[in-house]
Amino acid sequence: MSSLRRESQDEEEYWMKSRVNKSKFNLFDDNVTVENAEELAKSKKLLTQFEDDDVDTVNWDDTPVSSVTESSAISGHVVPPSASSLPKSASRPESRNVPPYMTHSRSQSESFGVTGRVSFTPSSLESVTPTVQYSKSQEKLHSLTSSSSARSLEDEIPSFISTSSGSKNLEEEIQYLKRALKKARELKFSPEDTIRKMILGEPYSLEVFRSKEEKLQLLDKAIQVHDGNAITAVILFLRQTIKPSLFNLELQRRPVAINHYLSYLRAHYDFKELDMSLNHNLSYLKAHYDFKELGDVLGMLNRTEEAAILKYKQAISAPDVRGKMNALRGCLKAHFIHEPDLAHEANLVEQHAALLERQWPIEDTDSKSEAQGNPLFRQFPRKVSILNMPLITTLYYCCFYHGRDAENLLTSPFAIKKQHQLSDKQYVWTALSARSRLKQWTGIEELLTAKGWFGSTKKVSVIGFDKVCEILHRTSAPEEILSKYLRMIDGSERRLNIARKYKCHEVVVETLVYLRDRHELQVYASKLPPGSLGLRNAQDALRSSTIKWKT
Amino acid sequence: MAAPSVKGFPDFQRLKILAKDEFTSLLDQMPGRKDLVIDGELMKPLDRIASVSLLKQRGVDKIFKFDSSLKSMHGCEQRIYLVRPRMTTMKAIADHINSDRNINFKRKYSIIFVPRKLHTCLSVLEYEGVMGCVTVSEFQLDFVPLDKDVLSLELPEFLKSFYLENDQTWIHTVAKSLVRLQALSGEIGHVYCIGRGAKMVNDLMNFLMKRNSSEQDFSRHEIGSLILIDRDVDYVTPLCSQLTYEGLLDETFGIKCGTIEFGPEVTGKQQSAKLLLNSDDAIFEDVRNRHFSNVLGYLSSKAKSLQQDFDKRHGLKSVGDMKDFVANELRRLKEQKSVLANHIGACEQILGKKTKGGFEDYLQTEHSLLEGSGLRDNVNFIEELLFKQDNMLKTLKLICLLSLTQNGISPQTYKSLKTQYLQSHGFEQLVTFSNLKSLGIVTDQETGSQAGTPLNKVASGMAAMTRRSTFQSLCKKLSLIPKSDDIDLKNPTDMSYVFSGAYTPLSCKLVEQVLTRGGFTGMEEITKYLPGGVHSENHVKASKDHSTPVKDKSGKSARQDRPVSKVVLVYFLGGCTYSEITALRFLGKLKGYIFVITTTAIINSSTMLESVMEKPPI
Repeated sequence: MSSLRRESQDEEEYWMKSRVNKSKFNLFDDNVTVENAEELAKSKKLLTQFEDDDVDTVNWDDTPVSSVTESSAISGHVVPPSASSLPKSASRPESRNVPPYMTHSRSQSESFGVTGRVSFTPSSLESVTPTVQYSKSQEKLHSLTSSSSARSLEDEIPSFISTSSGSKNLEEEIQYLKRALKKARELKFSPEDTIRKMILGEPYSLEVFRSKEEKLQLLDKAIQVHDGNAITAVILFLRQTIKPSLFNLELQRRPVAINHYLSYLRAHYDFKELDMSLNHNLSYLKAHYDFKELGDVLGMLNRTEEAAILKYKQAISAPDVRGKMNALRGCLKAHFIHEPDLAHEANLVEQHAALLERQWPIEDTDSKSEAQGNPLFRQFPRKVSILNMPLITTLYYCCFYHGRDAENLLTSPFAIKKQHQLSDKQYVWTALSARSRLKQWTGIEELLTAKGWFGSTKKVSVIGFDKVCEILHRTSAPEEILSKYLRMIDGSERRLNIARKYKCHEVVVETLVYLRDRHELQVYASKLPPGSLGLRNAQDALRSSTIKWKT
Repeated sequence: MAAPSVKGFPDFQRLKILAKDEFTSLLDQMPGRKDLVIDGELMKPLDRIASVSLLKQRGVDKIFKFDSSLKSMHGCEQRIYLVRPRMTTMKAIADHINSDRNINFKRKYSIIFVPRKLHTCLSVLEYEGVMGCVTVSEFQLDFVPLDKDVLSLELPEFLKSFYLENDQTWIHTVAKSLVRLQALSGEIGHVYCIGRGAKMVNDLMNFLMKRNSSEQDFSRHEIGSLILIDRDVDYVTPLCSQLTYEGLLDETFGIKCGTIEFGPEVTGKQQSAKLLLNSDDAIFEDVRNRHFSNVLGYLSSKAKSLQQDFDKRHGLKSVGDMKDFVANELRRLKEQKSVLANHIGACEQILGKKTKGGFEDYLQTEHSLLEGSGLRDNVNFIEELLFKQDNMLKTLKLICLLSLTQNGISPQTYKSLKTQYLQSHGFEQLVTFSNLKSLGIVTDQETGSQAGTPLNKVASGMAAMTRRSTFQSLCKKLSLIPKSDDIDLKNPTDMSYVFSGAYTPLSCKLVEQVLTRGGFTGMEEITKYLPGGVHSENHVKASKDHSTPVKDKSGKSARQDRPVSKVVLVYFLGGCTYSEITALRFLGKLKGYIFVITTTAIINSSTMLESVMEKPPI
């Protein structure tokens, strides 16, 4: 017995409830509960013939049973007689003690059913005695621990025998038992009380709830009080104990429960993922199973978008690019293309897969080429691999290293534009940045030249020449080039402002002359560094007699 | 109950002391030498309540940061894990234990859950077969007092968990924190709930409190009213660029649990400096709530006067004077000087970053989005940021604001912006958009009006009725967008100063309305636009009024000037920003309220969005 005791101690500590349970034998077992329940039922049947309507007058009701349950520090030590000890009770005339003992301990035994422990070692009966004294004297429960070992075992057992002989005493006892049973049922088996315990962090057991209705009551009560922990706990209990079709049905009726279940599955998936990444073992299958369940639940609820995004998320978490490409294609086929509502998302996932399929061979070729000492890569070393980079970054990369590649090559910027249906603005912006960085000024000119009618050409920019200048400035283009495009900005006021911003003195002076603003020109000229071209132009203009200045 | 308090604020040092006591007694449950393994996110909160020397005194040998990627850990024979209740964490702990078992290393383990143990966590321990060899306890660290008027749960995951996943696990923590607070400060008489989560917290709080219905003298209590407000009632405010000093510090450097770390670029020295930002720092207290335009000038004048104080040393006549100066003045001046230097350095950094990044244009777009004007230009601006592959968070903020202020984005624009965003910042962001849609932050007008998430239903239903968007209606009804352009940022008269007079934070305006009206009556025109609805409860009997002078224990009628009804606890579920705190402080000063701001976490636009974003692949 003592070895059992020791074994159970760790768990006792976990429940944090016991200070004096040195002599306890833990039976964390359903059978015990069932036995108790059966025993209770039996005795109830037996007692019905002595039915008494009066429920209130008995002083036992005054004993704060509820306080017993609440001050859980104590509920752990009070030891009930085991069910088997009941029949023995039939010999000595110490009847007065018994009813309170019985009733009280009965309620206790229920509580043990709930917390999952029942004790019936002989020594434990010693500690029963104080219970008797307690309920008689209405003392505080706390005193019970100190006054143990008041009576011997023999004193106790015969008392049961005697009660059954005197019919009046028996009736009294039966009353107590009945009330205890009723009270116990209400208190200990009530879903409300269990949920309260869960919320207060007290020990509880869900195993006592066997009927579906009770389980659902539990769930509804948990939902009603908004405690996520209790909701999740009850859901998992339900999942364990009722068949999937019923479980799904009841879950679907309760959106809050669904959300908690999904949240659990997500967290559980993460947990399995971690397991997987740490152990690389068989648990992969298990993780897959949980994941499937998460997807299935979403599918069952018609939350197709969520389910699809979930699969997408799983696909992109594949560690290597090849695996990711395959996973993306698979996911696209299975979850996106057949959903009319997800047409746009399907297009995006398709683009993602296509991008990887492009990046993979480019990276392969270019990394080799770089290793072989290709001068292009030596001049502008690649900082990182292009794999997994965004599309626009890839476009920039291709504009930068492969700007002149033919359209039938994977590296062709124009092919990228075409495949991903990039807008002219997106394309020009990126291509311009790359060419400016490479100082390919003629390349920029080509980019901004449109063929007019009859072979004439003109400069156009879909992004506006102000933005062209912004890019040129950002990529530190020389003033000469910058000035060239500044002059193409429509609207002299706007041109003036932008030219001032980029400190293109020539253009500022030109524009001021164009605006015939002599005063501004004088002011501006005074700030220019001596000997600069801008200053010379300004002075020339100010001296000129052909300009009709604004007055 | 009547502890000394600063300028009428309830004294929250008691919370610290309680937490410290609870923690030390938990440490004592494992007597002798032990190692402490702390969850990374609990480091800073723990720092605020217990010092390393205290831990050492209680037998803590080594302190480790919890790392879930470690298969095993070394250390002494006893170990305590101080962790948030997470399944992945449990799994890692179980791995540690099992690897010790495999090599027959005997060790005692204890897991302390902050703030409570969860069923799922215990199941993992059970599943992994380690339940028998760990002791499990709870450390109910809820509020970390960050300042005299700010309490935080430091639980940023609330936002994602509650609003995105609709998981109510943390509601319990919020409710419990209020129960514990009221155990100290006395029951709060008036409770106002704005939003879905707020109501849940109130329900659970009532369930836990068992209010005693007998007559209570509420005037003796320290807090008069409680306003619970859900973040999903107002997502706009946290997405606006913060312009107060404290807000900018948070956005630029990141304030973590009330402390900030300035790198060498701010300190101008080799090493970085850690500063505790609270009202004890007199200089900071002076500038924290100012609009940024009004900070540098103040700091430089402060620097000048400090210099004058320094110069006094030249005028010292006698040796005695000099001794006095060195003994008393010098130290203080030196300290002030270093603090001031840090703040000025920080200002320079902020200014530098803001001028470089085209902040003016950005701010202008933000403001016109709030006003609901120049839609085409705003979309163009966002597209341009995408062409440039400008900061992905910055761009996303504008997309969020566009959607929130317009009740969703028109289908065509939505598709185009989403596609371009994904092309510029990686297709993985598809997940982000899906999350933002579930949250109701970025929605497609089409889907928004059809089904949407349960969260959106109110908003979209309203949209069908009125042509103006929900946000625009609220703006108009509550006059959130001040009409006059010229607001005096130096001597503000309105809460909108925190956003340069462009916008009054909706959340704070609602608080103001509730207080001035004493509830939600007459606010139906406004509350119908709020998702989750409103609810109020009054526990104070009408006859008992707060007008009777109250005496504290010592018999002095010290709190006569502080009727309890003026002390208001504002609780943000899902986090609040420093700008909102500042706005409430200002409102308090203006209307004579004492606001205590409690929140699940202090957030800013970046941390808020990051918490629901898909991480780019590495």
